[in-house]
Amino acid sequence: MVRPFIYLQEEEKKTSVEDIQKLQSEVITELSEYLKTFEPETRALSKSSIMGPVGKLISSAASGRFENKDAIVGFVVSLHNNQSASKASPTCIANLRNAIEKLDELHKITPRRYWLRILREIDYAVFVNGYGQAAQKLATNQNARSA
Amino acid sequence: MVNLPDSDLFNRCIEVALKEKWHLLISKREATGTDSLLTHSLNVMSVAETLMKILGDFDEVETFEVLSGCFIHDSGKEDTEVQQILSGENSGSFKHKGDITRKAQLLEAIGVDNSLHETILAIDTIMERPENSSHKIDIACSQVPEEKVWRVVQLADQIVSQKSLDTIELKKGTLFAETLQRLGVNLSYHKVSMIRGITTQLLHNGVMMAYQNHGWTPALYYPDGTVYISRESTTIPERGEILECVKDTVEHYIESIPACELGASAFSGDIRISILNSPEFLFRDDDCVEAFWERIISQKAIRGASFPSEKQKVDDWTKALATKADEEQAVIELRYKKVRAVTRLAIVMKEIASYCEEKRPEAWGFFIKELQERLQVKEGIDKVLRRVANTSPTEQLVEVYNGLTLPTMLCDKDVDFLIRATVIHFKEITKKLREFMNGSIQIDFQKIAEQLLNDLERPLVDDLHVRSLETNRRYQNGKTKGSVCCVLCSSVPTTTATKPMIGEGVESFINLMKGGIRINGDHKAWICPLCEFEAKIRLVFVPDNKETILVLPQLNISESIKKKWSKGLTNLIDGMEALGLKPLRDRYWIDIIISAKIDADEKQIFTDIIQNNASKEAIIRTVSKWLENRYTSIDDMKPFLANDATALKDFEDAALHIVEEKLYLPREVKLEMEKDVKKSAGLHCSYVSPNYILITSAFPIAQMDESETSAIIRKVFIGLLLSRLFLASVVYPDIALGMYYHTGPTKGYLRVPKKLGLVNIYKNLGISDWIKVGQIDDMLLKLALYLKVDDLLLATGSSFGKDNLLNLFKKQPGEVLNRYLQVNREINPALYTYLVQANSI
Repeated sequence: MVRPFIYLQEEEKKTSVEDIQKLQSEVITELSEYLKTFEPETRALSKSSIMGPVGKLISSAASGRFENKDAIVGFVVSLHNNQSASKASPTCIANLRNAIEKLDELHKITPRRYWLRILREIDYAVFVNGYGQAAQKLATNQNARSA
Repeated sequence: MVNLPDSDLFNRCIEVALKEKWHLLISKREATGTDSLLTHSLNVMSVAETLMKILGDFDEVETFEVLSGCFIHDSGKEDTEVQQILSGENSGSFKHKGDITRKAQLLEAIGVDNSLHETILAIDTIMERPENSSHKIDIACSQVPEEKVWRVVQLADQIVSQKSLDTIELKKGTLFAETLQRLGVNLSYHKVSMIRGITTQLLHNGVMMAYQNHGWTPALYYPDGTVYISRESTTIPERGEILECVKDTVEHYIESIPACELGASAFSGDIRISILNSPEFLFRDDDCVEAFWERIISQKAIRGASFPSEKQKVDDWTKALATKADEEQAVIELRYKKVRAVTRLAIVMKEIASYCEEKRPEAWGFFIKELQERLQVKEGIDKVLRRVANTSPTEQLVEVYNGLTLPTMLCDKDVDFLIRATVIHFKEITKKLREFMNGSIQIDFQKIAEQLLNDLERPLVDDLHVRSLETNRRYQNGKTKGSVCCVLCSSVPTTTATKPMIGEGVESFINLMKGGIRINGDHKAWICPLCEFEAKIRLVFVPDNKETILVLPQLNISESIKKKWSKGLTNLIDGMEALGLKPLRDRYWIDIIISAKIDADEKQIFTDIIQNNASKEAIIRTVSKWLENRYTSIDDMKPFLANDATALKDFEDAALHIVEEKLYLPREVKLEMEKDVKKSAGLHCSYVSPNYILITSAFPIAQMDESETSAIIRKVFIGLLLSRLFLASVVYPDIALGMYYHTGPTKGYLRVPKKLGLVNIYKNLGISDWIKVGQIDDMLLKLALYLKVDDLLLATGSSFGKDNLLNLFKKQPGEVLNRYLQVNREINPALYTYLVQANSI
């Protein structure tokens, strides 16, 4: 058999930085939205307290546990139910699923060497939003008290 | 009858231009240097005003029309597309003429009567060369004003548009030459090759005076020269005239410095390192001698020398000073203080006498004779005195001390009395020496003026070949030690550099020389007489030259911007200094920037700064420190107060009462305090000639224990702040006393200081060499917000250490918030707001 002289090799589609950034900001928004519905049973002033189950979600994503999305959703919902004053509502679960799906998508398009950096950025961005919410609540409470 | 507005048109134009953000728009192509639309429009107005004064024959209405026409002449550049072309983002050509409705709006904003609009718009249309057919039709249809009216605007625009003095040469047949000819105006300019600082300002002024004597009027100032216009005169001053004018300028400048400041500056730095920096200033008059010795005795090394801690030295001193076997340590330490005080004073006196001896050999004998008469010292003391130095062995120092104090029994008095008594004698001896020297030690103004003229490129220029031969003379004559040429400006070197002068260590290492060169013994860095003179003048105003900033015109400046600069310096910088506030301290300005009050009137900004809590604390601290230095205790101070102050607890309490004007100091004490407090700010803004401002500071912009990279970020903030206040470009010279070669027009508001650790940060912020015209407000706000965060973190103990400011740029906002949360365990809404706002810019 004559071996082909010329090979046709499909060029690998490169992901653009813009795509990654866009998806990354979507993930941040979704996770921040989810975090709004999370009210911890006992509030402590620390990053892990503000991040709630999102912190665990990000660390599990960093460790490569993205084989089964349902399992991840279940894991985060279980954490939510244990830590929160109220159980996870269907809207909350829907938000979470949405975020995890996007995170998975982001995982697929992000080159492996940038993945941890991207996750770190998501982690701190969600934390800033959570901190903002906490600051807003604090201001509202102070206003109510002074009124 | 036309109604002309009463208030100052220039101020109104500045207000309108700032409101319309013209300071963020460029007026020229950025790649080759530009200024903002605001400064360009105002400069055209000012030059037109000067032209009208020279030409005469312009009535009030015409003058107003011309100035208003100048203000709106480039408003077409407000257009985004034009800005993109000018900044190099897009290529192509653009039309100068903008929307007529917009121009009418601007005229209304500056208070121009409707009846004048048509003429002003016609001036604006006709002053530019026709750009296309519609422009030609516009010109044909305009109600054409008198030729001289629109020609003045045209010429003013052409002069101001010259990016540097090199391009101002007139070529026959150009529109520029034609306009000048039509108006019957002559143009000339002077140019210098390098910017040294105060001396170059004096050179600018001297040359300007020579030009003015020939009937020229200065119209426009560049950092490296001045443009002159004249109606009649075409003659340019000769070398002799310029030399005379420069000499007069330098002489007047030195004479205008109060004797107390000039004399005191003869000494600068640490008494243990250098003693006599500027003998010419010391020997100027008796007041200078008094001021010099007062500065000497204020040195800590004289008033309170600390007893050594090394065992060997302790043993040596104990052995030399103890009069009995088990003498108390406190007695020995007191005696040590006396010995150190007297011997250090004696070393200063000896240095003065030695310097005189160099000029006149009999001076040393005269000095010893005077010393013997006044202190009844023993014969032979001169031999010990000649050898004595700070590092002399203990026995030698004790011998000098005994020789000077024992005959008059001064050694029995306390330290303060001993110092005072010795200094009284030394002051008198110095005065006698001054008389003895009979004016042989003084500033040679003629020589300085001659050397300054070497810096001129136009109208005079020296033969560069001859100059380079002169520079290498020492090398050719078999020089073996010391730098070949001046390490600062490459001219002929005449003297060795000292640290207080050039701000660099000169004992073993100096940044100004080639790597690997070891400086020791006789092998020193040498500087030229001009660099030496520059250093000496700077030392008059600031004891140490830690920071140098040059505030330069963006391309050029005219009378209107010059007034703004003067107002900023008088109302704001001087005002802050008078209260003991350091104007280069960023914390006073952060809130002004964040609350967008930077465009307010200078007086308003000043009031806002004073009301700031941080400022008030600093003022109280300064006043309290001054009181503490003046009075030994609070009880000692009370009898001197103008009103009843029996309830005062301490100096800080007294300072608080004085600042809040509840307590009044006697008038002469208050004046003395104000003078000292102003000096404590350690800043000098030299604005001798209008070409640029030189700011020298005795204090670094960096905060204590801050890394060099973080300090540069702080410097960028201060640089931007100054450029925004003065609407000018700011440059940090690489070396404090170094030359600045103005090789081309500035390309933005600030030439950023470089540092390897900042490469990525500058890249992320979109900064290359210069902070561009359009970037300034955003960049200033961003930096102000980060500095606010930096302050917050430092105050709460949650900073990232000496690299705190740098880390704020490197780390994500979440990391900063997390750091704060970890340390303080509380939510800080303000910190969150500042961080988010800074990151959104």
